[in-house]
Amino acid sequence: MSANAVNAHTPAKSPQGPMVSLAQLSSGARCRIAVMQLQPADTRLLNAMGLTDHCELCVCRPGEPCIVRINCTRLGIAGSLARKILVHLIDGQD
Amino acid sequence: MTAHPALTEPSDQKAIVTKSKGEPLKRYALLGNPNTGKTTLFNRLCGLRAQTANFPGTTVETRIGKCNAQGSAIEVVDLPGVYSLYLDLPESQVCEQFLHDEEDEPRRADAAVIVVDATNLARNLIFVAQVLTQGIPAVVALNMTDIAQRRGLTIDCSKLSRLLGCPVVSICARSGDGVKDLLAELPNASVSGVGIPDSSDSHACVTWADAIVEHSVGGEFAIGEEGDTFTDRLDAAFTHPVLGVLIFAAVMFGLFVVIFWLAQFPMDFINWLFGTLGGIATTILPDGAVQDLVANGIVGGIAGTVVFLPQICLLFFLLTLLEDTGYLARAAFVMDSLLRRFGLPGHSFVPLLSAHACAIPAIMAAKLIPDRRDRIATILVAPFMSCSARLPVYVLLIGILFGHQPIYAGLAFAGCYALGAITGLLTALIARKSILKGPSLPMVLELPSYKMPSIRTALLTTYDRAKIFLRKAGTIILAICVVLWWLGTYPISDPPPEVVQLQAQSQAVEESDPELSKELLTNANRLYASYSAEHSFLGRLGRFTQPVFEPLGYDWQLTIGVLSSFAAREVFVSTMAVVVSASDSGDDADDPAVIERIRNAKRSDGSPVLTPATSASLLIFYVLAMQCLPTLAITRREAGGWKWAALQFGYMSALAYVAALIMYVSMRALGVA
Ligand SMILES: Nc1nc2c(ncn2[C@@H]2O[C@H](COP(=O)(O)OP(=O)(O)OP(=O)(O)O)[C@@H](O)[C@H]2O)c(=O)[nH]1
Ligand SMILES: [Mg+2]
Repeated sequence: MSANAVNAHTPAKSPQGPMVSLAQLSSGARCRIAVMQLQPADTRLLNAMGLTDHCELCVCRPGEPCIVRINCTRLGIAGSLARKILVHLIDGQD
Repeated sequence: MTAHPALTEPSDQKAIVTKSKGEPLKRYALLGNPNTGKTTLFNRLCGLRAQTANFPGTTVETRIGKCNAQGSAIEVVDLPGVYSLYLDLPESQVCEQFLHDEEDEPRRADAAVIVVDATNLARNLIFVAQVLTQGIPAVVALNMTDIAQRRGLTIDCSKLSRLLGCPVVSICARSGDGVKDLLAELPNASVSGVGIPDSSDSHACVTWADAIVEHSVGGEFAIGEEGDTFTDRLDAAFTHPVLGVLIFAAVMFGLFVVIFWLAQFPMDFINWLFGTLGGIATTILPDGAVQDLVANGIVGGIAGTVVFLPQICLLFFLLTLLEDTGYLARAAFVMDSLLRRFGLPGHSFVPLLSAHACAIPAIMAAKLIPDRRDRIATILVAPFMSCSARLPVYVLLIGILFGHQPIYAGLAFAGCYALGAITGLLTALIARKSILKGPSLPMVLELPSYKMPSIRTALLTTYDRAKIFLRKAGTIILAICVVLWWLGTYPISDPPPEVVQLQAQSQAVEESDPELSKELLTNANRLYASYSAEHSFLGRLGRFTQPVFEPLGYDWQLTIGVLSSFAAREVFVSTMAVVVSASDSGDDADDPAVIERIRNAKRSDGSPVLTPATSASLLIFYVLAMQCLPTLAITRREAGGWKWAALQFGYMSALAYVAALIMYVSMRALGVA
């Protein structure tokens, strides 16, 4: 996915940080989905669960499983999967 | 507020089209994301008037019930929760089929009731869009409004209704608020005429949903702000690699202690009740085949099924409560890292654990496993877990092996459970690397918020499971018991000379020594029962197949016990009681005298039937063998074909045979007779 595509849907006020893996973030970090390097079926499932492209999420608990919150949905994601989800950090990472 | 470009008002709302014939009841399908309260609503609407059915050809379960809406009966279908209609999952396909008129079976729904979680409207609306674009009349039930209210969210239903192009009713399925309004609104279900983005364009859908939320919801959704620290802390503890495992072990230990402890009271009662019923049947019916069939075949058969009901009910009641609290979703992650090593997902843990009570509900609970291969692997290995039907056999054989050494006996018990579980896990690993080879679905789970569980839901689920168990297993076990009774009773042989002689002696001393006369008669009856068993069809079959079991050290009597257990293990003790030398007082497996008699049983050459070596070999055989026809029937149903049941049977029995042989040979080699 190109950086342009990301910019197109990102509110201007949110700084576009560098891409990091979701698994690298610490608790309380807020980020926006950039790329999911997953099988199409897995991506479809995550999308349907609310983890859509460019959506904003908050890391509740890093590690195994990685627990994130999107709006009111809490998702537990296996570490192996979280490593393949690249995000732009919004804030909260030390 | 200005209209959002993504939103258009409906052009018209077509009224629901009624079926021309008007015979079948109008059918409403409850659809929605997982955990939005469909089942809670279904239970509110239909209560006990519901049937659970497997969707043809799949492992997906649907429930159909009837209820009264505005004076006319309607049919309601509770469907499994799905995140999307377009996922490559059986649940999604089943939901989709209920919306389309492709096949006769199942009859398509006349309208959809889309159950939506008011606290998570944005994501739920994407699913609403998918259903509305199917062109089926729909009503949206906005559920969980109590929680939304507590969070300070206000949702304008009439505005939402206009934006979606179908009626929207706010309800609280848990308390029942608004359910009447929903019923009143059902006839107004309409095909949405608003412009809804195509579901293939996920970005447009998200934008559309966000816009609707923006226009119809007042108050703040907590988006990434202050987290719920209580939930965070609980999650951190429950999914912690060490603490999480300890908590899980404690919870499961507690669960099973409660199940086994509590279940014993109703089980004792059931044993007593059926014992009494059998007694009554014996008293009121004339002696003969009918009396025997009713007292031993039918009453015994029903008792053999019903006795497991308390454990099954307790298991499902407590599991449903536990699931309702939100804990099980966390536990699945804890077990995932452990079970992945054996090719199974964390979801398999609950079914495998339940299998320690009975494999039948466990195999039924395997539905919760999302991936088909994982599900079938779990179904295949579930019967390796030591179920409660094996317990009487373990008690008997371990009693024979370590009667007066409680520590060894305890270790042997634990060893049997461990052997079953480890063999099951290794088998799962082999299966996932061979016949069920393929990638597993990644572990992603929605973690529902922690809640007080609903007793009502748990009771209804329990009732439902109990009904399925009694219907599916009860009929089969009953039939098996009657057939076994027949095979074990016929052909009726005349008493042999020894028996006639004993009877004559008994009669001769009846006047002078009533005590002795009674004893002689008892012995005569025992001998006769044993003789009859030996000459019955089952006895002949035992003698015929005995050479197969000879290498394991089993004589014809044990062979009959083993053969009859292939129908259901729990009959082993009672069959053995009859075969080795039946008493006329019935075949109560809990009776210590029965166990004593089996322990002391002799072969015709005077050597014991059960030596330590044969007992150990038999114990291993019972740990591993697939000896339960009802389980095979359920495997066929749940895994989708006889081939899986046949594989389960063949593999487990062959493995049991080989392991028992190794045990027997090594015991002999070690000098244990
Ligand atoms: N507070 C509150 N809880 C509810 C309400 N409706 C359902 N619940 C709870 O939400 C949880 C999920 O309910 P279910 O009825 O099992 O949800 P479902 O949609 O059938 O779930 P799946 O079959 O897994 O898709 C349970 O703990 C219910 O008690 C409601 O209106 N208010
Ligand atoms: Mg449900």
